This record gives sequence, structure tokens and C-alpha cells, in this order.
Amino acid sequence: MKKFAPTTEAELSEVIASATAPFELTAGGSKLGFGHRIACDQRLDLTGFNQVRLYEPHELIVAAGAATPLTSLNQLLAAKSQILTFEPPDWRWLLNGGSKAEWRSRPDPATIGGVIATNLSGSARLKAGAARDSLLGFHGVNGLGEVIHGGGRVVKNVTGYDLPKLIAGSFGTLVAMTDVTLKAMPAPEDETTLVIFGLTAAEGIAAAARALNSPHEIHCAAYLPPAAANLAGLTDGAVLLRLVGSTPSIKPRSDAVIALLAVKGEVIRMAAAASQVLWQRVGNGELLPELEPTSRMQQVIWRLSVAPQSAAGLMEKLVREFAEYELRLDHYFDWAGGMVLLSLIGSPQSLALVEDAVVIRRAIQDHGGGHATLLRSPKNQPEIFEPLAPSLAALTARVKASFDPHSLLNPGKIYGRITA
Amino acid sequence: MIVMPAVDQDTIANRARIAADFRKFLPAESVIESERARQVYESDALSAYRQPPLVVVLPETVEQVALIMRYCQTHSIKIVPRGGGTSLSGGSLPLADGVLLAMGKFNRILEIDEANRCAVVQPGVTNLGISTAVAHLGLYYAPDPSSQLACSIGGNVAENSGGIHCLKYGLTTNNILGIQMVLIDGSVVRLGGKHLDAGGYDLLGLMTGSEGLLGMVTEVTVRLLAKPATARAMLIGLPSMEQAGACVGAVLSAGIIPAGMELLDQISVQAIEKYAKIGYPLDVAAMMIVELDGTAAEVDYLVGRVEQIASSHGASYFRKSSTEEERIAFWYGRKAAFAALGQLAPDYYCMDGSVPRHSLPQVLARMKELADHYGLLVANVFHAGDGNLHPLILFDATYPDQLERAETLGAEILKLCVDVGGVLTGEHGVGMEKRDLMTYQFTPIELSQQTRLKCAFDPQNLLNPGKVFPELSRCAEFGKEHFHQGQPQKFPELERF
Repeated sequence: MKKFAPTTEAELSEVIASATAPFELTAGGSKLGFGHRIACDQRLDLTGFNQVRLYEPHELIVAAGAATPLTSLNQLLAAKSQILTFEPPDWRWLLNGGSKAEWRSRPDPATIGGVIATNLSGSARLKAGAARDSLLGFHGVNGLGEVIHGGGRVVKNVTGYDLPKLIAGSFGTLVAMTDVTLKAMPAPEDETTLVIFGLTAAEGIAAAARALNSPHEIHCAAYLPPAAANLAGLTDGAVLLRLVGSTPSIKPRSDAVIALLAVKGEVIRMAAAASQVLWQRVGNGELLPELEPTSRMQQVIWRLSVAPQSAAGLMEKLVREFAEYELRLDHYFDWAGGMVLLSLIGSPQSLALVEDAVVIRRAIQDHGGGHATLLRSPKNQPEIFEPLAPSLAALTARVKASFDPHSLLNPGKIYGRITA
Repeated sequence: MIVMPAVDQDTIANRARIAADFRKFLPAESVIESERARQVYESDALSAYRQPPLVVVLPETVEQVALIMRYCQTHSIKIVPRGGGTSLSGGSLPLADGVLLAMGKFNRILEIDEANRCAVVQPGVTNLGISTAVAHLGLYYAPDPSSQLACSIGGNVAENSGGIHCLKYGLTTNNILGIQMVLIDGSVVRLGGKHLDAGGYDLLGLMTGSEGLLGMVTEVTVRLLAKPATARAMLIGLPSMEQAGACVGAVLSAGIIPAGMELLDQISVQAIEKYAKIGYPLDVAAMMIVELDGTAAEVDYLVGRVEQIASSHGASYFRKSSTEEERIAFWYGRKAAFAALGQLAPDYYCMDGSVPRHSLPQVLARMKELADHYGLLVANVFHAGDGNLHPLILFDATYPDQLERAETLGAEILKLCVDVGGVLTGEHGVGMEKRDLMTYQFTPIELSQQTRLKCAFDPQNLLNPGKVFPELSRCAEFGKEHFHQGQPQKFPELERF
């Protein structure tokens, strides 16, 4: 494996412009397992682009090298009571398996560029937008070796195409990012999570919708079936509603939500610190069951994005379908039902047999549409991301070619067969 | 003067035949050919520029849009899309040899989905029409451009429209979930839906703000939000624009994100007061309008904190709305600003740069110098929270040189915005108005990248040509090129374009 580790845009440009074969782009390496493996023998290591270039708390912006570690960026912002509002999660366990505790004990090498390249957002995505919504600008080098700046450092900008949107979530297939400019937002002064017991998934998601459609400003909403709730240290299945804001507003808003939902059963009001930890675990996928490290080949993990109110029915259907394959299905709902993390556990034989991608994607289409992304699987699966309709696939290939006509940057990372 | 693409006289000579062809798949009344009727469509809200189109078509169905697109591609006829016709940058200025594709008949709300907090609407529905249709549910659509009574949601997608409340609630791009669109070859594709973050390239994000250059939007799924329980607005008078600018920064860095935060200079405040008689303070150099929304407890608390911060920045005047009528009145003045300033001079030219907020004092001082140099008056009202300036250049077009001076001054102001790290346009779009300044903000390489992206959607450059980009180079055929291992070409695209 040949490795290139440029430290300036000029060097990076030179490396790509003179390339004769494709590269796999890497930095922290925490998400290398996300998407398809790339068949190539060159690695483009971007860790050299790791300096914070500018942080202006008054302007609510931060610009940093794409390989700036997420942890140091978060610390920098925290010192001024600011945050990245989309709360990027740590997906190392979801993507790699093994022991959650062990992953937690190791420092997370994730970089901000990796977060942007995968458009990875946590539970706050529901209200605060995705990673792509916080990206104001980027610098990078396209597949022709050209240095491209997209977007800028101002929040309002409609000058030319919105390239930052396109680059976010492109998995390094369009440009090798060197620098990103992001919105920083004030950290909420206070928060709580209301844990409401005694509701089924359908009832819980409907309750979350009522709360979200009220003026009480729900920030995050999840439903945990009993098994996931147990992993969160809760005694039974529950709806989680997170409220953030100024301290004086938290209690009256919580009271109003509880009254609105006419909650009959038990309600826990979590303190801010516990609430933060809980949502971190929700976002990190930690409320799915973990297997012994030796059995990791027996688990498949999917992320489903669907219309929130279809999610409960969809999961009932999937539970029934997968039961026929003698697989254990675990799941929980985030984004008020709009996002489902799903784990299938079974013997290697039954997992090899089941056409999980087909079953899940067909069920989603039958339940109002959406998409499914494969996060981890012991077997080779051809479609990690939702397959595209033919005209969109052709358009995607042309968009890829407009940035990287020779398919040098992470070819096949998203779709395997077509160049992107 | 901005030069539009060369007119194809053959196409103009074929007007009658083209119209007749359209009538084969469109109702007769949906094809407008007569000179007088075409003149109705000769400009948008940038009315200094006028040009009747070749033909106007008013399709009613997605299939008709697809047929129109395919027909135009087959016959290499240019298309200019039009929504509500409220573009301030000439985004839907017709071309003499181009079909004007007007989406006014796509005016239905297809579905209101309360539980999934979204609505599916046709692109010709007005921005305000959406909020009105869902008001009984306590919901609304957040982006609120000043033209919201008339502008269409399809146009909002094309322009990535913002509004007074986008500081807290974001622009169009942050508030739509999906679209259906027709590509130039007539194929119909869906991006997104009622779910979030469709996988693959974020073509939805790319389409938003693409100013009609990439495809025709035929359906939009918008995100709906719960209306805030309360909103209160404050008027704050400050001794200088500099101190006002500092105050804006202090509010944001104290962790308060107001729903809206506007700043007006003395010329604007006085003109508005004379026009609308709201009770704006006449003796302050700068006035902020700050709106805080949320639950009552939260809003009252934040109003107190903003007042404290403003006091420490020398604020000499405070007024807080205590009723909804009062709040609306505070904003009425702001919304009437252009009309009010229009009383000061027969004509005005509205600019729309965005700058980093800290550069505000510098930008304002330099703008004053420039205005003096060109002998024109510039008033300033702007979205201070996000650094989006709307300098209004006042002039009298009956003096032949004044329009030219106003346009030159406008260009100088926008270059100034770019020089301090900002951009040419924050929300009005590039259109044809700012097209020739694009080379000031972008390098030739960046422009050629954007051109190639355009080619990926529209290889013949038929969709809204002459807008956004200076004359586009021809598209190479990407799909047909292969990379030969061992034979690297450096910057091979340069020869091809």
C-alpha cells in the first residue's frame, strides 16, 4: 500500500494531479468501515490538515483543517460555551462491533472532515439540522488536482451553487477536503429529558409528534422498546423527550408537555448531566445489544430513515418477517420515529441465508418510503446505501465525473459498482 | 450593461411553429404567443430589465413539464423558469429566443401531514399560502422572505430564500425535506421525501439555490414547525452603528439566538417613521429590532437579558412589545422600509451582500466614502444577526448618468463585501444582475468546476442561460472519456474547455 501524506493544499493538488491510480482517503480512520471497501493500493492520508484556522465565538463560526480531531474541536467550543448543534455521534462500536466499553475507553480519532464526509448527525438532528446544515464552507482538491473553495464563512450565501451541501455526505468521492467552516452555536444553558413509561411504540411516536407540534420546543425525541430501555438503565420501554434552553424555561415547559400528553403512568425528569449522557448513548447506537467479541460475526446493523409515523408499523412488520428466519431483532427509534437503528442477531448460517437488504428495503417502500443504510454486516452486501433509480444513478455518475472524471477519489465508496 | 446570450434568430423565426407544437400536448390557453400577452411576462421584480419571451407556456401537470423539457432539449430551445416573478436579481428575466416556463398553475397544496410535520405542495403555491393553510394546526413554514405574499415555494427553492427569521430557523435549504423535479431530458426524479437525509449525494441541497439552472421543480415537501407560544419584539436605539454592531455580536455570544435581529441606520429610521408613523425614535443613530420567541417564561427572561446587554452598549432607547399588535407594528416599519425609502428618491437599487459581522463598522465607513464619491445617498437596513446587508442606493433615473452611477456604486459595494470575506449575495440570488461579478468572488478554476456541474444536469446549457454564470463554455462529454492507466494528464480539462 503506497501512502501519500501531503500537508499543504499545493502538495495535495500535486499528488492528485499526477496520480495514475485511485486513492482511498483517510484521516482518523474511525469510519473506514462505513461504505464499501475500496479496491486500490494507494492511501491518501489527510491527517496533516489538522489545525484550527479561525474561531470567532462572536461570529458563531469555526474553521478548521478537515483532519482536526472532533474531540479537540468540541473542547475548543466548549471553552466558550458553544457546540456543534448536530451533536456528531461516535459510531465506532456500530461500525466495528466488539466491546462498547472498550471503544469508550479509547480516545476517538474521528475528525471533523470525516463527520462532514459522512454527514453524520446525532439525535439533535431532529431540531438542529444535520451536519450538512452546519457546514458553511470548505476547501478541498478535486479529482483533477484543482483547489476548490466552496461556500464561505457567512451564514447567508446564495452565490453560485451550494457546493458545501453536495460535499457533505459525499464520502470523499468528489473532493479531498482540507478545511471546513462550520456554524458554532451557543450551548443550551440547561436541559432535561422526560422519560415517559407505559406506551407502545406507535403510541410513543404519536405522543412525540403531539409534543413536537406543540410550542414547548422539544429538542430530541426517541422511543426505546423494553430491551433498548434496559440497556439505557430504564426499567421498561419509554418515550424520551429532551428539552433544552434557559434554566427558567425548563420546568414550565416540562410541566406543559406532561399535561399536554395527559401522562397517566410514571414520568422521570432527568437532570441535565444524566440527560446528556443518555442522548450520547442514543446517538452512538449503544442501546443495541452487544455480543461477545468472538461472536461479532453474528450481528448485522442497519440504519433506517423513514417517515416518522410509519416507523412503528414498519418495525412490527419487520419483527414478524425476521422471526421466520430465527433471527433476534432489536431496535430503537430516534428523530421522533424518523430514524431506526436495527440489529439482527443469529447464527452465521441464518444470517448468510437471510436477504435482509431486500426485506428491509421492500418494507420501507411499503411504508411510505425512505432509505436503509447498512452499518455492519458479516457478509458481503452489494448495496450498502439505498440503490438509486436509473435516472438518478446516471445523474450521480455525471456529478461524480464533474469533480473527479478519472475516478481517483474513493471510487465506489458509496455505490460500489458505479463510480461514486 | 449585461450582455445576454446571443439570440438565435432561427428560433425566433420559428415562434409560430414552436407554439403550435406545444399546443399538441398543452391546452391552447396554456400557450401564450401573442406579442401583447407575452409582454405581461417581460420582467420580474428587477424591473430595470425587460424582455418579452419567445413563448410562454403554463403547464398544469408533471407530464406536460416533462414534454416541454424534452421538446426543448430535442430542438435546442432555451428555457427560463418562472415562479411568482418576484426575483430581485432578474432570475426569471425572459430571453427573446427562450421559452418562459411559468409554474403558476401548479398552485395546489397536495397534502398536509400533521403527524409527520410536513406538507406536500406544488411549486406555484405561495410561501405565505403554506403557512396560512396549516395555521389551524398551530404549525407554519419558517422561511419568510419579505415577498412571501406573492413569491412561490418553487421560486424559494430555486433561490434558497431566507427572510427575517432565518437567523434562528434557517433558509429554504434547511426547511425542505424533498422535491420532485424534471430534468432537461424529461425524466422525472424524486429527491428526499418525508424522511430525513436521503442517502447519496445531497442533490436536494444542490438544487436549492441553483436558480433554475439544473432542473424544474414540480413538487416540494416542506418541513412544518410548531408556532412559538409567544414572540416579543424590542426596539433598541443606539448612539452609533458601530456600537449597534458590537451589541449584535454581544447578544449572540451571550448564547441568545433571537428569532430576528435587524439593524437600521438613521436615514432609514427617519424615512420609515415619516412614512409609517410607528413611533420609531428619531434621535438615534442606529436602531435594532430584536425579536425573541418561545415559551412565555423563556421570552420574558431573554428580553431582560437583551436589555441588559444593550444597556451596556450604550443603548439610549428601549421599547418592548407587550401585545401581538404592537409586535406586528414594530415589524411593519421594517417591512415597509423599501417603500419608505422610495419616498426619498424616485428610484432605488437594493443590494444584498453578506459580510462577517465584525467587519460591519469597516464596511459601513467605506460604503459611506464610496457613496460620497459617486454623489449618491445610501440607506442601510439589514439582517444584522447574520451579516446580510441591504444597502439601498437612492437615485433618480431621469438623470441619465444616475442609473449608471448607482450600478457602479452597487458593484463597488459588493466587491467590498467580498474583500472583507463575505459574498456577493446573501439571499436575493445572482440572477443576471450580479452575474458579471462572479469572477470577482470565484477563481476561474472554481467557476469551471461549477460549469462542469451544470453540464452534468444540462449538457446543452438550455436551462436559464445567461443567469448566475458569465457565458458558459461548452460541455465536454464526460461519460465518453476514459482514464488510461500510466498516462496521467495534468489538468486535462483545460484543453477541453
